[in-house]
Amino acid sequence: MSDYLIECRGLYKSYGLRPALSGVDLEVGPGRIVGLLGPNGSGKTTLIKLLCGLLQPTRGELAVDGSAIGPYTKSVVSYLPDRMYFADWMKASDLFDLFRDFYSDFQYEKAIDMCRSLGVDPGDRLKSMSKGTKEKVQLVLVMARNARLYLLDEPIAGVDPAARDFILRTILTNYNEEGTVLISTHLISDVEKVLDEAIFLKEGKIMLHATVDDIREREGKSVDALFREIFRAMPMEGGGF
Amino acid sequence: MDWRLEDNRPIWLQLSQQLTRRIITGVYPPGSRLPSVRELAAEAGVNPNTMQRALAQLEQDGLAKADRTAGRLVTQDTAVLDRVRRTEAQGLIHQYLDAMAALGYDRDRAASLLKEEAL
Amino acid sequence: MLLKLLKYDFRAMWKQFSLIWGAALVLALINRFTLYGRIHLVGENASNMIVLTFGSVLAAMFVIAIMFVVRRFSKGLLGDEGYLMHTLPVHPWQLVLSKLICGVVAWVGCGVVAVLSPAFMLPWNLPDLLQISLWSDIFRGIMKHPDMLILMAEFCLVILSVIVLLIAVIYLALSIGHMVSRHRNLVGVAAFIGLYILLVNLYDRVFSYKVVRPLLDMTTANAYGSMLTAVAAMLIPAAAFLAVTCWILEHKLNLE
Repeated sequence: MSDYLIECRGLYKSYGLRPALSGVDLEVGPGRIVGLLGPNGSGKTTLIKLLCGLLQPTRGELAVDGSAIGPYTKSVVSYLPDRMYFADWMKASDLFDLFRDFYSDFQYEKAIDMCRSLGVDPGDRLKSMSKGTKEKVQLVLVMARNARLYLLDEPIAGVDPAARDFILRTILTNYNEEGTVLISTHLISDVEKVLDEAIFLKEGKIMLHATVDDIREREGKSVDALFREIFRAMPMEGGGF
Repeated sequence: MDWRLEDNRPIWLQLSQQLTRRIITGVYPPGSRLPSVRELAAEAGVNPNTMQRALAQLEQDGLAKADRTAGRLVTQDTAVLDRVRRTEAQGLIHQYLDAMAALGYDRDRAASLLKEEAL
Repeated sequence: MLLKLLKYDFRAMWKQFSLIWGAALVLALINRFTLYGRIHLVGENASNMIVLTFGSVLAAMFVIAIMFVVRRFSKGLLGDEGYLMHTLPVHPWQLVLSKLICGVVAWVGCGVVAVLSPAFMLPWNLPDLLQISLWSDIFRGIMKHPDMLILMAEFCLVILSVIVLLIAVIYLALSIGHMVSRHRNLVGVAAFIGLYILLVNLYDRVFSYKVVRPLLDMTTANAYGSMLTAVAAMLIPAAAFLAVTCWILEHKLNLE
């Protein structure tokens, strides 16, 4: 199809009558770290779930690495969901076994090393782990893959600033540089300096898609400041009749 | 030395300025090998592509040279280092003069005050 | 990939059932000694209690077996665990088939335990059981009527088809429930009842005796043909239900 890793054409998704995405056209190339930015309910999670095949689009086209969503794209996508999905009786190392079985790009040794450096014992049962530790294990699973596309849904929401820094560093030092990382978040100031590109989503539409340095050069302000400016008027709009 | 990034300017520009400062102050001595893009990016907590762009600027300024085997080496050309150091110094002097002007000192008085203080 | 999926499904199944299967067999053995032993190890009340416990363990086993099939599908594919399963590089039909095979095996396992454990309770005399002449008699008996073996195999096939059909109905009902955004469980139950009515009508009209009879006459006058017809009559709708289930998972998956 083309050199783009993500391609969307007229992508539309609704839950019942409520549209979550309304006409998204998007192209993202390889080797980029891209921020998917928007307030809650703007369609970030919907777009990510469409890309990893947990949702089906209502209308429109969608391709990852030139293919329609299916077993191939799932084999090159590494997805960090916004929730826990493990069965509690498993150990971290059981999950590593499972990932090694299903994903040929999973680096087992690296996962064990990452665990150790994060202070997690791979032999521990998930049941005995704190929420923060489980999140670390999930991050290890995702970043120990040599994927073409990493889809990280709110990786730094709900953790303290020190942990945020830590998570971002883990992502930066472990992702496959030929691959692309898509990070959805509403905490822009924290991720801004790790991004190449920023995508602003508002009410299911893309408002802006540009490189971070372009935005800074053109606007003379940070992406975070621009974001606040664009979305400040939000509560007013809903009220009009 | 920490990386300080401001909000209102492109990140790569700030990175290349701070790398420049590190080179002329001897944090990375002449002829030494610069850390890899990945290491520097992780240290600064920034995107490797952005750090790459900053390093490309250093190469363009003649402060660093790409080396096939060893990554990037800091230049040993003292003329280049002196020139860049001079440019940096001029920048600081202009900052000083601008700040003094804001306080109401003209250039001559600012200069003589500086001389007094320096002696 | 299907084998890998099966590996994990079977591991989950073993976690669920090993305890209750073991408990049923052990309780049956205890019953055997408390009921028929020459020396009464425990009083009559206690031995009644043990029989009662054994009965409730068997009952619990079948409840767990049904819940297992429902939950492995609703939680494992349509719930939180679906986040993992549906991002694995496999086709939806592989996910469904793996769950189906595992469910069938679990139910067959429960059936085997339910048949074996009462057999454990009978006061067999171990030395008698170990006599070669007993087994050779049984073997010779079977050899005299080899068609019995075929009938038994066909009977097993019928049982398997019933299980497959039942599980297929459960899967499809849950998948239909998944397609609505609210009251998914309620719609699932309604779909189950609807599918049941559909099946009853199907067997009344399409596979009714009148329709099937010429077929029966054609194949053979005895039981072989009728059992195979029954197998087909159950597996064809089961395959259709599973196909629709896979289609829903592939095109209508909605993990919000």
